[in-house]
Amino acid sequence: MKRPKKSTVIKIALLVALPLIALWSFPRALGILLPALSPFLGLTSVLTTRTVGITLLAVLPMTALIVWMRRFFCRFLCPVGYVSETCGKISPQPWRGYLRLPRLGQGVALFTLGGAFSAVPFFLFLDPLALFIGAVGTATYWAYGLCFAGVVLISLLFPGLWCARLCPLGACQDLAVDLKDLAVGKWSGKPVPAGNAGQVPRRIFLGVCGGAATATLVNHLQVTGESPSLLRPPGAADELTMRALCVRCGSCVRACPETILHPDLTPPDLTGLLLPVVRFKTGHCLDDCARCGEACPTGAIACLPVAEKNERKIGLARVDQEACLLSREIECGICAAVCKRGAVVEAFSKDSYTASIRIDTDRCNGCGACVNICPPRAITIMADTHD
Amino acid sequence: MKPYSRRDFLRAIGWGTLAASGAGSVWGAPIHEGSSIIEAGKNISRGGPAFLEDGVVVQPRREIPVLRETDVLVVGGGTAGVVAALAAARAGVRVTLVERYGCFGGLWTAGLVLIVLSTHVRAGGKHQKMVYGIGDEMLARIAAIRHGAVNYGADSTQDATTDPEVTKYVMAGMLREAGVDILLNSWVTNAVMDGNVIRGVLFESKSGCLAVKAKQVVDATGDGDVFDAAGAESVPHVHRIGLVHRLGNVPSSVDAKTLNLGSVTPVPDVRWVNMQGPQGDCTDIETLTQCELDGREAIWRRVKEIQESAGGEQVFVLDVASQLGVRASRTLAGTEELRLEDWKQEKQYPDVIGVGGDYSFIPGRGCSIPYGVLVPKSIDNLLAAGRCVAADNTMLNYTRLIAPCMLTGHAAGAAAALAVTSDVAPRNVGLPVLQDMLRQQKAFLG
Repeated sequence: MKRPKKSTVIKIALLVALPLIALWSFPRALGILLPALSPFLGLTSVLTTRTVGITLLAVLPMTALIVWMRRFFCRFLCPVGYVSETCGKISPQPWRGYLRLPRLGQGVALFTLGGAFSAVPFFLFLDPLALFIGAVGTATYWAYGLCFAGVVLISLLFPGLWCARLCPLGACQDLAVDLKDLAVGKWSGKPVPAGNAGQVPRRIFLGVCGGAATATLVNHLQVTGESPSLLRPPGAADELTMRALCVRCGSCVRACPETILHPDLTPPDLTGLLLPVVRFKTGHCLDDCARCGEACPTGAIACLPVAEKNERKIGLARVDQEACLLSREIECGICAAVCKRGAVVEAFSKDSYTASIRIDTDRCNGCGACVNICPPRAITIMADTHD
Repeated sequence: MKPYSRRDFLRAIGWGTLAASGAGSVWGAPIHEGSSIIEAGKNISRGGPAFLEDGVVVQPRREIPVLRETDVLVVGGGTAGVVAALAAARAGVRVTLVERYGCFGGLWTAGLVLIVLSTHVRAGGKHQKMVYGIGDEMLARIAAIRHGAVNYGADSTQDATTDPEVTKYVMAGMLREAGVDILLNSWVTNAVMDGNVIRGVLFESKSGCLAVKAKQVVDATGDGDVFDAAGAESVPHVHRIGLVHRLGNVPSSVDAKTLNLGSVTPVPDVRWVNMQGPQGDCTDIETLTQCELDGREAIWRRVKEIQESAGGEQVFVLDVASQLGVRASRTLAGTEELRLEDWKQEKQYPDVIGVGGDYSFIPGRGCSIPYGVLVPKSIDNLLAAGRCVAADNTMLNYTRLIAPCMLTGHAAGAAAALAVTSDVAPRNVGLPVLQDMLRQQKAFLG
């Protein structure tokens, strides 16, 4: 086993530690930084959520750079690349076997992009930056770092395999340059180098169509279906899209000031693993906060202005009338007092001359402000299945 | 028997003229008591009848007789007002207490809300006492009387409940011991202002409209009638208006789960029954009238139901509260506001005037109350106490409880006395001095 140079170790340590510290301190920065750095992630996000906004703008400079210089991102910026490279250096066996393997990453990237058209970007979580942020996410829950650990393991066992053959972002960069070459060739009339660029359009067509078709099929088959008991953060994409678009980085979980977001460890099926779920044990969704959406790098939780976020339903409040104090003529009604949306109302019956709590389902956004304040805990937020 | 003489005739005419002109004077007509004519009601300050001027009812402009001049005037003889009057009187100033009914205690007694909530903090199975000072003393005196209180004492894990008549009796006794000047059956209707400084109040009574001048005024009306009249900023609230009643002869065998038989009182087989009632504006007289009428009807419907069920045949209505259960109407816009978030985060105030017990929605945590919730933003020489202190729409459900009312009343009374003795506006009283004074009067400031 080769011992890496001291300076290399320090360099790597710094390169990994500094962004980690930065991202740890400012989870909000992720929302813009990640799509800006990774066009794969950015484009997929734009396609999936069909929102053309600041994300699309943010994607452009890096796209230009990678078109201009082959694998620009890999060479100069990719933190996973550094880690992978270092692992390769530490690795006991130099291995060149990957050269014989097909470029799986291109398939993965194209399939994912295709899936994005039907709102199911299958392998988005393999984006290297997403993997890297997953490592940051281990601060909240260890499992977020599993994929990143997988990359490290692959790099240790098969140096070079990840970057050259598997990484979808690397593959995207190759594709972009190939496309450029093709276009330039067409335009200038120069012959295209055979065997490589010639296959690009076909590959793109097959990959994207395959992805889109599969995604459409998945959509129609309702493979996962609705999970009525699960509460997602406000502005979250629908269940199926959520499962693919969420890269399990844990940024939303870290960004939540009330710590009501938790990684789902007991999902109804495996595809829902580690998705964010809302549990109102420690607080409620604040009406002046939209940090989960701001922190989400992929748009799985939409980045919305606070006012608009407040209109997105997490669920609906439901009152257990038998437990409710007011129904038992005991002084209360605090739920109605804390509800800033006027969704919890005291209904008065002239016949029985009693008051009881009713929920205005149009106004209730399931923020859970009434949940913990309720002395007998008679209110629960139920997923809104009418939406 | 003397024959009817010319002198008698002239005297009758004279009295008649006086009676007719009495409209314009404060001198009333004589009335007959038995067979002798006495001069009664000579002090009725009515200023003559109102009249129509182009179809508009107009009251004549006139001078209002000043009945009292005092140092501290406390308006409202409810829980907060009585404690405020006691605190001020014990600080050595002259105190006048004006109450609209004939008894003390307000909603605690006349309103039949007999449960003394928020006297403790319940944490980790422990029941830590949080009611101190004059309120604590009052409760102890009530409990010392036979059938005065139930669930009272260090070993009780439930909220103490008192007897209304015992409470009225104890309150009156304490006020008289402290030398508080008392005016009962006097309904305060307006403020006497000198710019933004309050100089006294007007009240209506059987003696007509009279004034009390005071150096400092404590508004313990519950509805903030005085600070509203004085022009202080306030926040209106709509809350449930109930009407409490007591049931007598309730055997313990009746199932209290299915029928609403209310809660225990110190008197055997007597229970008090809470009512939530409809939401309404408690400063609107038509709403109040409606609530009185509807509430009473609802009580009798319920009682009938109880009497028709097994075991409840002998149950009867002991009494219906002589005062509506008004929960919230107006809160002061104070220099500070009591906010739910601050209680949750256990905010520490430099101007803390007391720490109250916990309540159902924030259990296990004492509530610090700052002096600023008693002080109006713009009006001087005025302090609020009781359920009209500055609190947001959640915390007013706390400040309206009996024990917090004792706490704010105590602080308001002490602060008013201090403002008199140090001759400054309440907003400028020395906080360390006030806090020392409260501690000396055995209040708990955390």
